[in-house]
Amino acid sequence: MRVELALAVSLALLLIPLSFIDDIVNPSPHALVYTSEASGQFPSWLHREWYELYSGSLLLHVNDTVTIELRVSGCELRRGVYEYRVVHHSSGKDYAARGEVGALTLLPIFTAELGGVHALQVRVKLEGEGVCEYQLRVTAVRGDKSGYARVYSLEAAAGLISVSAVAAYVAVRRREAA
Amino acid sequence: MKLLKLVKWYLGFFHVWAFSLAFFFAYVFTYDRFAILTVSPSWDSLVNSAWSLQEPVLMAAHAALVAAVLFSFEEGEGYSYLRHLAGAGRLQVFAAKWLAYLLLTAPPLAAARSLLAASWDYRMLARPGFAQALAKLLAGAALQASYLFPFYAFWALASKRATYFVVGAFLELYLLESFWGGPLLVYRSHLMLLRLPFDPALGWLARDLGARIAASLAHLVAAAYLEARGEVKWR
Repeated sequence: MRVELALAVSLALLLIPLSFIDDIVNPSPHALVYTSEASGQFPSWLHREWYELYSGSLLLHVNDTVTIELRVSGCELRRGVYEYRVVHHSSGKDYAARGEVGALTLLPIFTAELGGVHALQVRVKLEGEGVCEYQLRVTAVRGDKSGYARVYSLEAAAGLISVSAVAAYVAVRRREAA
Repeated sequence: MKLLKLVKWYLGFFHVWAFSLAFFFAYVFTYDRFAILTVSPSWDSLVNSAWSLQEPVLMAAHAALVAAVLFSFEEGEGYSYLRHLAGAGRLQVFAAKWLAYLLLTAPPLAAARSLLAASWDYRMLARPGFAQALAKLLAGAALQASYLFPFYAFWALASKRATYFVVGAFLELYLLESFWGGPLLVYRSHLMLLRLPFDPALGWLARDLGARIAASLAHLVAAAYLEARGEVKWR
């Protein structure tokens, strides 16, 4: 039973990293990009106050990037400010950016430095005349995974060595028994 | 304790536990380690998002193989002497087989899903709720496995050869691609029963799967009758 357990553990060390390497080398096409769109209107009475345009949480991995594009139309914009905030949930790391809103605003590109669930929030404060219509597009794209590939290849090498060690032990015991 | 002794013995029967290890690796292989998903930051949500399209079929195939080993080979290979040694009744043997079957089919799926969730964000392990999510996942997998058990047990007991049973069970899975969509509704029951401990939507369950669950219970009674009667006469 002990030999079987050792074999199972070393097989896990070998096969799990190999299947993760397979996810890097042959990614499924529908998982490469995530997009979501939101659109709506600002009621005029909301001007001069912070208004939440988007909030959501995404599972990202190291080097994945998030791009947010904001279009505002239909009103005369005098001044507009956005606040863009990303929080990595498990570590509590907080990233924030502020800037001016124009007719077409490209928010700073966020590159994840930790893997995990990230909460994203975009708020705006606008001053102007009329009713503003907005369109917001969030795009998350898979980034470079060569660092992961290196770590998983090392793990797979360790697994291969331990599988062969267990197999060699079993072979020696069988020869002694025979 | 007779029951536990039997269960322990069935777990080692024909090294059937090796299937569990193989299916654990198969589940991990079908999941996407680098998927970008909308997930809320809780263990329940992470564990539920670790999912693949192939998972329900893999689980049903695993259940069918385990049922084939536990029900088709026992009498034929002369392994039933163990029952006499343990002094257990036939229904006790049936219960032991069900327990062994649950222990073999539910943990690989739960382990693969929680492995993926932990590798997505290992820092979450410091947060509470992992044990509860794992327990819910195991309970859901056990529910789905228990739904499939009576069908496979009855078919394995009633068919003349293990080969006929395995081919029939896999043909049933193949019908997913056809007009009938798989008579056992493996996909729908998998999605509903695995989620049941997370959000108990019993009304939906009764409406969508009520007839199948009734059929499953009827098969359970029939399989218990065949098992209690002993050797099937038309074999």
